[in-house]
Parts: sequence; structure tokens; C-alpha cells
Amino acid sequence: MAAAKRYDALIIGSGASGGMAAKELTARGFEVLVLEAGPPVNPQRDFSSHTWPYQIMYRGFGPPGWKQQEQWMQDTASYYSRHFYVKDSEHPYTTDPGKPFMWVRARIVGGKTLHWGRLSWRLSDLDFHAASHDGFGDDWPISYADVAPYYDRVEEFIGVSGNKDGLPHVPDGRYMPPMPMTCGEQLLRKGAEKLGRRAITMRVAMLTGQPKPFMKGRRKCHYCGHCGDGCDVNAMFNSVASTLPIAAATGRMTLRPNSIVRHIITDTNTGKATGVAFVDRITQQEGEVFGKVIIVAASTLESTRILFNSKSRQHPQGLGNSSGVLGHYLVDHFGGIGAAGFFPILAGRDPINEDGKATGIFIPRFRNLDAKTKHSKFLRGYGFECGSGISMFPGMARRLISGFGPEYKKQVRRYYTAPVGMTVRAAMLSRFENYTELDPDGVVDAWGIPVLKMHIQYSDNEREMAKDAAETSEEMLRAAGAEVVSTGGQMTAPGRIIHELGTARMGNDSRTSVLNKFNQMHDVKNVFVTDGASFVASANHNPTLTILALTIRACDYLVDEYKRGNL
Amino acid sequence: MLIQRKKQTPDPATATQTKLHSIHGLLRGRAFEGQFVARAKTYRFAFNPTTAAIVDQKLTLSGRLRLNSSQGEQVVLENVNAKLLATQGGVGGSPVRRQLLTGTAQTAQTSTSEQKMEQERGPETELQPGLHAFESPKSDSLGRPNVESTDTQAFVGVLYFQLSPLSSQALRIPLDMSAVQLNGRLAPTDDVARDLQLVFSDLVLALGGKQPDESTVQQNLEVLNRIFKS
Repeated sequence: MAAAKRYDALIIGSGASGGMAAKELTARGFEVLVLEAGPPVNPQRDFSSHTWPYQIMYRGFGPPGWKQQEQWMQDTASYYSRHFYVKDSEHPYTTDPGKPFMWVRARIVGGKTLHWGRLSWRLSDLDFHAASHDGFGDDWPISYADVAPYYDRVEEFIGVSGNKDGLPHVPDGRYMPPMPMTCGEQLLRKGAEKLGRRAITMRVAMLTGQPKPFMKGRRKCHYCGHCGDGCDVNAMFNSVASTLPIAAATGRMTLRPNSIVRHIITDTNTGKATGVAFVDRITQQEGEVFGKVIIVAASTLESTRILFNSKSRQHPQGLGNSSGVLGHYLVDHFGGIGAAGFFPILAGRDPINEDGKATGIFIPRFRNLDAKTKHSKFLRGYGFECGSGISMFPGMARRLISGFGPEYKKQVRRYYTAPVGMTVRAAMLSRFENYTELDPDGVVDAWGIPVLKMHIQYSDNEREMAKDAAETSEEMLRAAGAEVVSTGGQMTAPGRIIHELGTARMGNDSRTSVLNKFNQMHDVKNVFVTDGASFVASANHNPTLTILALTIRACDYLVDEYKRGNL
Repeated sequence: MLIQRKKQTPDPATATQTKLHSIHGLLRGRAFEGQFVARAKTYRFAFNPTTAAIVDQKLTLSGRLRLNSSQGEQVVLENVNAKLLATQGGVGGSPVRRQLLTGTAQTAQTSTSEQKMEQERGPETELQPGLHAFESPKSDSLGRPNVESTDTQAFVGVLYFQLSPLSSQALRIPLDMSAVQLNGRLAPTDDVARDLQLVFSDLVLALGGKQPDESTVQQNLEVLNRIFKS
């Protein structure tokens, strides 16, 4: 009987990090196997970015209550993109009573890159060295200077539209032309500036310029505005359009969809990883594959779940968990707080097409940057994602205007052209007591694999930050000349922003971290965790650009170590 | 389009599935209803609890499990026990309380731009006929915003039960069904299920502390049994 094939690298996950790892490693001659838990994607069948609401029952909102029946996920999914996500009912996880967590998962080739928000911010040393700045928690083991060259490479490769804004805490990168601000966004920018704050165009991973020669199959954005439903011209970066085809073109990547990883196999003598055990989602057949190096990139919590499930004699607390830190320091960002209203000056104007700009403006962090901006009640900071413009569906009609009958319709028509709103994106402190573990009561998924239990709550720091954000958002809207209709809101439940991070953090001390500064496991040198699990802290910025940069950096290191025979 | 190099040819009929790990159902009225596929055959099921009790600090429901195959066969098992293992907190719209039904339905509105609000709140929930948004308490005593679906707005979204061993012979399903987990999702669309969601939520909260709140547990057990028997 022939010996089982041994790949140079096994990659678990085909999302942002897994796709990038496949591209990087195949480019260096590695033969890789990518294991993806979900089905393959066929853009012609699965994307519906150019489907009009009237072509779909319920105008694309789906039948009443359908989301609640399948998942709590309400952020990004529309009826058009529901098939990108898993159903909670089929993929359990558990929580403590009264402390919910919303775990949005996309088991499909390409993962969450199929519908991600595309916001691409660099972290700065204010983030990497936050603990040195304010005394809470731990610094990352890396500085901005370590990651900056990799941010450059990522931005060049994925294509990011934006401006160079000259803000040290939101470092500039290499950008394609920015998407222009709408009239309302210009007004809001001026309002923020009156209060000494900046409002900048969002930096998004979308092609606003001509695609570069290596961006085969990708086209310039044509502003259809349905990015979250699958971009069928591939203007937005995702694994399916970008990294995976390039890796596949080398002939050195094998992609195995529908492969649900049970655990990582380790050598009983050396404790090193030798392969991965999985079950086929369709056939239920069990399988094992083997590799010299394992890249775990299944998404923050799924990666940690796999590590917990990879217990063995040498790794009794889970793979890489000699420190006992695995699962801890779970964070998300929070949202839900902000202000909304109308610009009277824009009310009643002739509608124009502002619908297709699938982005807005961002008010970067302005608290706790230095002694002058220090807030007495909380550490770290928050920014605001803001938007103003005319959209196809008059959402403000049911959010901001009340009443009924002819007068109501008149008001909707009048204010249709004038809505404005801002919502917070705020940092959450990384605390040991926010953690995940294998469910102690033995809950399993449909394949009998133990599931995670989440333990996470906001601290007073986040609550105070939310209070401040409610006040400052209203203040800025009023300064911009808006009529404020609603303000405040509720903080989103942890997980809802889909920026879950931490749980296998990097660090220089193997007693307090799972990974070293190159995303390599302290305990098992041939295992790398390259997704958001490696984050030390959340900052207040969307994490994907940093995940991509860290993945490239990890792959560079991996290749060097591999050549030296150290893996 | 990405082409996978090794084409799979799934054939459920020859699948090696030998064990049924879990089934998932929605609470409809008093029953958890759903379906599952085993050896290429689809089965609809309904678990109708008739009694509720606390056994070893765990909520345990007992009742009837009915199975219907796609070929029209029906099998009923009596005295099936479902022991509550764990729960998942729901997120989003809290259960509609009966006393608020006349014209109310949702949790607090978020105050964001219409685009962002579309993203952060499911657009469908407030479009349910006859239901309108209402203001819920937004701040704590220190004036800080509340967290959605926590404290008084907390509710249970999914109940994970361990079913007592099921006889595959009696059910005529060629699978090991000795340890089937029932994932019971609470997304009510009828009044009975709404009431049950409230009772389950209160019961789980009362049981969940380090020291269970015995009197609340007993009160809710009584209500639960009354609803099951009504």
C-alpha cells in the first residue's frame, strides 16, 4: 500500500488568512493542501449582486422572522447572501445565561471574505504598544515598523482605495483613488472639524483604479453597491477572486472543500504536528491528511476550537496550551451607539444616485491619543463609521420618521435625500476573564465534535466609552447642522461586529502567550496560527488588513525556518 | 471561478454515517419540530414535552417523540427524556411579552445612519405586520448605554438537550441513536411558543447562578407544566 502523501503544508481555512497563506507558500514552491469546512463557491450561481429587489420575494428582506429561525446573525446577511453563513442551529455553541455572544460564521470557500466590510486600516504603535501607553494589559511583541512592509505588500496585492490623511495613529498606505464623499458626508466632515476632529474617506479593499496585471479576473468597481451579496466583478478583495486562483495557478495547491477538521494529529513521541483528522461534510467519511507544517487559519474562534480539540498526551490542555492562555483574552469591537438625523439643507432636493458607494466616511479615534486628549473615565478609544446619502430603500422611513398616511409619505419623500448617521466602532480591553473553552456539558456539533462555550462581557471601560460616544456623536451631528432625531442606542452584544479576536495570542513569553511574534506556536514549532486568534488587543479598527499582513509575515518566517530545517 | 483539483462525488446512499449526533428543531407551539437526513432519507420529527422537572440540577423534559419518514411512515416513542445540557443566549429582539403585545414588538432602536442601522438590525423584524418599534430602557443607573439582549432584555435562543437513548430498531433508522442531542431553537411565531420562551429564559437564568434561585425555578416549573398540559 502506498504511503499517504505528505504535503509541505496543510492550511486549515480558505478565508482571508488561509487564502493568503496558500498564495504565499505556493509562490515559494510549497505544495499545499487547503482544507475548507464548507462547500465550494460558484459565483454565477451563488452571487446575486445584480438582482433587483423586485425580482425576489419579500423584496430581498426574506419572509418575516426567517433570520431568527436560522441564526442571530443580522449584521451583514441579506436574503441574497444567507447561503454564505452557517445556521446556528446546525453549528452549536453555548453561552452563560444572560451573557450572549453572537458568533457569525461563514463555512464556504472564501469564508467571510465573500461579504466582509472591506474596511482596511493599519494599526499604529498606539495600538501595538497600547499597554505602554496607558498601563493596561500587554503590548504586542511587534511594532508598527515590523508590520509596515507587510501592510505595503497587502495593500498592493488586494487593492485598497483611500486617501493619505497624515494621521499618525491611522498610518497611511498605498492606495487607489478614494471614493468621493457625498454632499451629506462633506457636511458631516465640516461639523467634525469644527470640533477639532477629522473625518476621512473610508479605506476599503475595492478596486477604484485599473486592476494591476496580476489581478486577473478582477474589474474596477462600478458602484452597484451590493458588495455584501458577493461581488461578481471581483472589485472587492476576496479569497475566491484573488489569493486562491493565484495559488491554484501554480499547480501546487489542492483545495478540499467540505472538510471539517476534527483535530490536529501529533506525533506521540515528539509532540510535533504530523497531520489533520477531518470528516467529510457530505459523505460523513473520516479522513486524515499529512503535512510538514500546519497553518491554522479557520477564523479566530474556530482555530482555537481545533486547538482545544487537539488534546493529546503531550498536550493535555489542548495543542499549544502549556501556558493555559489558549481561549483567553477574547475581544470584539462594539457598535450600536451613535446618532442619526437629517440635514435640513439637503431635504427636498432632487434625488440623485448615491446608492452605489458602498462605503462612507470615518471619524478616527480622538480620545486618549496623548495627555491633551486623555479621558478621565476610560482607556483606549473609538471611531465612528458614518454615512449620508440616498439609497434605494428609504430605511430612514421606518427608523427616523413616524406617523402614517399622506403626511407620512410626504415626510419620507422630503427627507429621503437628507439622512445622516454615525455608529461607533470601539476597542474592547483584552481581559483574561473573557474566554472560550470546550463546552463543559458535552455539547457537540452534527459531526460529534465538541463545541465552544463563550464567556464574555463588557467591562466598565467599554460602558463608559459607549456613554462618551453617544454624547460626542450627537455633538458632531449638531455641529454639522443636522437635525438629530435619535441618539444613544444600545451596545451591540459581543460578537455582533464580527471582529472576534484573541484567544491564541502572540507574545515573547511562552508562559503568557500561545504564539511567538511570527504566529508560530511556542509549544509546537511546526504549527502556525495566522488568523485573528493571534491578536493581543483589538484596537478600534477592522482587523482583516492586519490579519493579511501578519499572515504574509508568518509565511516569510516559515519559509526561512523551513529552509534552515528548523520545522 | 476556482476549480478544485480533486472532484468529490458525494453519494449519501453509501455514506458511512453510523451515528446520529444531533438533530435540530424549532419550537412551534409546545413542540420542537424539525427534520434530519439519515442514509439519504429525510425524517420529520416533533418532540412534544408533557412534563418538566429538575433532575440533578438540570431541567429535564419528558414526552413523546414522533417521526415521519419521507415515505409516509410514522413512528411514535413515548417517555422520551430530554435533559438540558446547555443553552445559547439569544441576540436581537427580546421575547415579546404578552402585556406588551398590543402594538409593541422590538428592542430599542439603534441610533445610527440608515445604512448602518440596516446592517446592525435585521430589517425584517420590524416589518412584521402590526408590530411597531418601542423605546426600551437605554441606560443604566450611571447613564451608560445598556448592552443588547442582556440583563432584563436577556433571553434564551437555543436549548441543547441530551435525549434519552433512542431505539433505532423501534424508529426504523439504521443509525446509532444512543446519544442524540436535540438543538431546540426558540424563535417563536405563536403565542404558546412565546410564553414558553419566556418561561425557559427565566428558568435558565434562575438555574444558571452559583446558587440556583429555588423559588423562581419552582414557579417557572409550575408554569411550564401548566402550559405543557393545557
